[in-house]
Amino acid sequence: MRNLSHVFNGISAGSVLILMALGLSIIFGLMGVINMAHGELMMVGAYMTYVVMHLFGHTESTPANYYYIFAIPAAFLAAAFFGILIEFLVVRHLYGRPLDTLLATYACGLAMIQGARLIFGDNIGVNAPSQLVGSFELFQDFNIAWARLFIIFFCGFCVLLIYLLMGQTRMGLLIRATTQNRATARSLGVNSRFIDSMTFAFGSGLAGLAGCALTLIAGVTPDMGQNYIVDSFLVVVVGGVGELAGVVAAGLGIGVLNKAFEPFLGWLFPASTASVTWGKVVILVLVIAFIQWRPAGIFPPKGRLADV
Amino acid sequence: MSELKLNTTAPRSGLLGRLEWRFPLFLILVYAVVIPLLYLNGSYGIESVNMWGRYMCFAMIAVGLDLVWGYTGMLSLCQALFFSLGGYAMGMYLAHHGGPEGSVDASGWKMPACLFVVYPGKVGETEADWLVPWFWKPFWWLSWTMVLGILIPALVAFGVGFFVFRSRVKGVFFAILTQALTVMAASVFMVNDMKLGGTNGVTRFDRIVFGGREKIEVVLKEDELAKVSLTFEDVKGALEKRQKTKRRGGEIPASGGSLVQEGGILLSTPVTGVNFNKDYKDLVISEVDGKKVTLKDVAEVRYRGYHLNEDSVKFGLYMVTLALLILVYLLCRYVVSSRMGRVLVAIRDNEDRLRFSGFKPYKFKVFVYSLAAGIAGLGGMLYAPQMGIFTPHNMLPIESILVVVWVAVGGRGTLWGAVIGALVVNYGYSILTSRYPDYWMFVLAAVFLLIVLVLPGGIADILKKAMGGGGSPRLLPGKQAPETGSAEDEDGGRAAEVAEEEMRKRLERINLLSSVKQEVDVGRSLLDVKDITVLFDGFKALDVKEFTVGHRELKVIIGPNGAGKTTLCDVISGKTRPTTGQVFFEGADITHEPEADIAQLGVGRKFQTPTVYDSLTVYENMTLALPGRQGISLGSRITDYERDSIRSQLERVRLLDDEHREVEYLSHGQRQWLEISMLILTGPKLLLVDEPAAGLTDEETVLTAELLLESREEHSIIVIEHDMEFVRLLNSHVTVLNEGKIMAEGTIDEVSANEEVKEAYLGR
Repeated sequence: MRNLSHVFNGISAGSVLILMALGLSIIFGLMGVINMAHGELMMVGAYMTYVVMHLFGHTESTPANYYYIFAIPAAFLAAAFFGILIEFLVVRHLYGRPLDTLLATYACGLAMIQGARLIFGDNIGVNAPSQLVGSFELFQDFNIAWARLFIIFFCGFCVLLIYLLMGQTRMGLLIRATTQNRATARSLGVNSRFIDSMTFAFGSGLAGLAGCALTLIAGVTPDMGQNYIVDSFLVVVVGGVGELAGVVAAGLGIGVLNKAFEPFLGWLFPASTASVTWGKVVILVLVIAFIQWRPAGIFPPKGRLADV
Repeated sequence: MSELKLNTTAPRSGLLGRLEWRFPLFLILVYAVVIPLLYLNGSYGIESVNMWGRYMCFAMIAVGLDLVWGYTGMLSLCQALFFSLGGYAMGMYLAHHGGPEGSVDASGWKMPACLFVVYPGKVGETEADWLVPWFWKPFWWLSWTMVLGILIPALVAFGVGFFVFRSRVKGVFFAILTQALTVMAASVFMVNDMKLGGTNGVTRFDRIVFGGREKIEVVLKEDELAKVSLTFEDVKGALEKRQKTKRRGGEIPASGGSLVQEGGILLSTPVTGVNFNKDYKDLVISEVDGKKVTLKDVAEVRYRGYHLNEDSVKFGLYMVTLALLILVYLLCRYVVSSRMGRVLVAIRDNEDRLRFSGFKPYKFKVFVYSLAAGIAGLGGMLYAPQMGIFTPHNMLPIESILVVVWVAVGGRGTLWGAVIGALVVNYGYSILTSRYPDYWMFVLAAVFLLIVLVLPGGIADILKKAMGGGGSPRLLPGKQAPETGSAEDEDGGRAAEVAEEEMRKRLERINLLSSVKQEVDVGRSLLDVKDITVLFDGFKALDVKEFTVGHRELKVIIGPNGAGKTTLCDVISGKTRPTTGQVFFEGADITHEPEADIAQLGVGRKFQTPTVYDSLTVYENMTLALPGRQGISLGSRITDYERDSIRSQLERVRLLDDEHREVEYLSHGQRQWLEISMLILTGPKLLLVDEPAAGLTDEETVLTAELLLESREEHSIIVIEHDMEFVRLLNSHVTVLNEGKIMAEGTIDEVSANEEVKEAYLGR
């Protein structure tokens, strides 16, 4: 049953990864750039949750649980705001230079980490709303933490929303059109700059949501995003760029594998206390093996698009 | 996906006039003459010398990264990992020979002091079970350490590069994968169970010893000896006995070894490890009335070797680092100025073109990546003794990003810029962190942003402009090269008449050429396409039952957009794999061969848009097309014969005057011709030419037709074309493709009369 708990924990960790990776993937698909400050945007979301918590005066002893309802949009907006800022000041000027964009956004991320460190200090904790504290026993030895359950549903909800937004709205149509053929979209009167800004903001906001969700199960540190950017990019690599279904599948897969390896590796190397590390090693090796087999992800684009 | 256009050819004005030599020479003057002199005269502290020594180690990683990133266009975010692998190698060696409190494991191997983080502490392990891990043992010897410190990072890079480059991962994907690699490696090295010192790293360095054996000097103090009325021989005897006795109650073998007398010094050279304190310092020489006399009472005991805390050793390491940095620079300079260097730039500019010219770019990438990793390893090896400690923090992702910052600030694609960048940024770091530690990160981020956004050429570009060395306008991205009009446009009426006359002659010649019926060998065809289908997501893009090309035959394929013309070319040249069916070339099945192998067999491919290497000159572009030279080689010279054939081909397409211009300055038509010329130079048996006349002027079109008809003498050609005038000029066998299927075949007149074809084209 302990293994089942691991799978459950893996799904919740994977859910956060999915939110991160979706933002990354949408931006990458549209503009061909990797936003290395994406992890820091998640950090912004987490700190924003902390700030909102303070504003509402929520503590463990004097709960003001409804703060979290406000924290969610606040985290989204704060991260989106920083995202727009980065897009406007940096990314926009580096169009067509993906590697330079990667480096420049990395620099933004570094500055944001140091900024957070100066303002908030090194390690702070967010008290979850009391409804989400603790766990219940589904059956013997299988405990489900409320916070993790919430994260899974929250992420599922967000994925559904993204699906509807991309597939059913005019904005989504414009984003997809620009992703497929920027020049054509522009010549048909699509304001691609505006689309870029909005998409960047939206993707960043998703990172903020991921940060907000993560505060329920993890500590908030200035460099918390650094651990996530690589993992979420691996999700994009495996899932395929701009593929909603692929990213969801890959995020769950990597999240669950990460956790699932812990007991397995613990059994393989009984002396080892560092199964988290070995989990990372195995994941990376698997990803490299995977791209040997499918260089373009689980659901590769086909036909002429495959060349792009 | 070339990020930037960089200057690869320097102004040619004598050795000292060249920037790639002038700045390094200036740096050598400063670091090899000025700093040593100032140090020796006492006005420059050893700490500063040592600091520059460490920064020069960083410069080595930077030079390596410049090869990989600046020249080849691959952004690697794990150079600090390779640096650390070298650093750990040397660190393990130094830890082996460091820390006098180090004890001996059960087999008599000396236990490095930093391994005590791991030992003791394991439940169920007794002292007798503590063994130095096997992977530490090669690092007992300096020679093995030096070899492994370069080889291990190079091999890791080789392994990673082989799998990653072979599956054509590039651009940002490559960058992130390398970062994932270093994140993973750092966390592995931080694990205590790895027995590499955990987060503390390898520490307690003391000295460098040549040869495998520790040498311990026992300097006897005559007066102390006299006080306890002992003689020289007593001490010697005690030491000899010690060397032959098993230790710790027989658990540990005797250390063995020799004992030599050098004047007043006894030099002990044990074969196995020793516990410096137990076996030497506290060695009991005599015991009178319960009063023990130990070795340290009557002698000074010390290890022989180059002790890292001595100023002279620090200075020596500085000089060694400088010498090796110069060697590394020369090596990299040699690589980039060789044919290999041009291939690397070509990879950055247009990897596909290389592949379809018969190269296997991944081999070159793996080579240069491994080379850069080995260089970084060397840097790490020199860094460890100068730093005095080596920890896994040296391989955190940020450290690799810093390497990128150095190269970016210094100016990529110049090599010397990388050196300057590493020295300048680190010096800035040392000043800023001591004064404003909180703001260093902001400054770093700001500088980095500034460089990437405003000054992608870095310091090198500023210096070039300041020296009047022609700061290349090409360093600024997005700047369009001026279109060069053909000379005829400018020379007025007289020239126009000449041009008209020339045009008339050309048309006559084309008529003559195309009227000659090629003798097509019908019995044995060159290319056979059998039952090929290509499915894209259920959509049948191509469905060709049979398509053959004979020797020295020119076939034209026409058809409306989306008819599958380019897909057919893709299938033949290996770019797209067919869903079913086979392609035979000279009777051999090439359906599943890699593109480069198909190209080597003799299938040349010209793409719809001209694919050439923008930052290389016309001549350099042509040299990359020379046949039989697609392997990895550094030093092969262009023979006179090869030079002549390049020049005569350039003459044919009127590019000889522009021989030494970079290709990006050429007009569209010239680039088309260059690509065709490159293909012809390769001497393929079959040429696939995709829309050669697209975007050309009438005059250029005529010349292209002439070029193709002439080369029909030497090889078979498949031309894909929309331009009916052009097809008429060629006057050859025409195949009409529509909706993936062959609709009609015959002469141009025959197919134009075909009702079905008319319908497909005009939509009637």
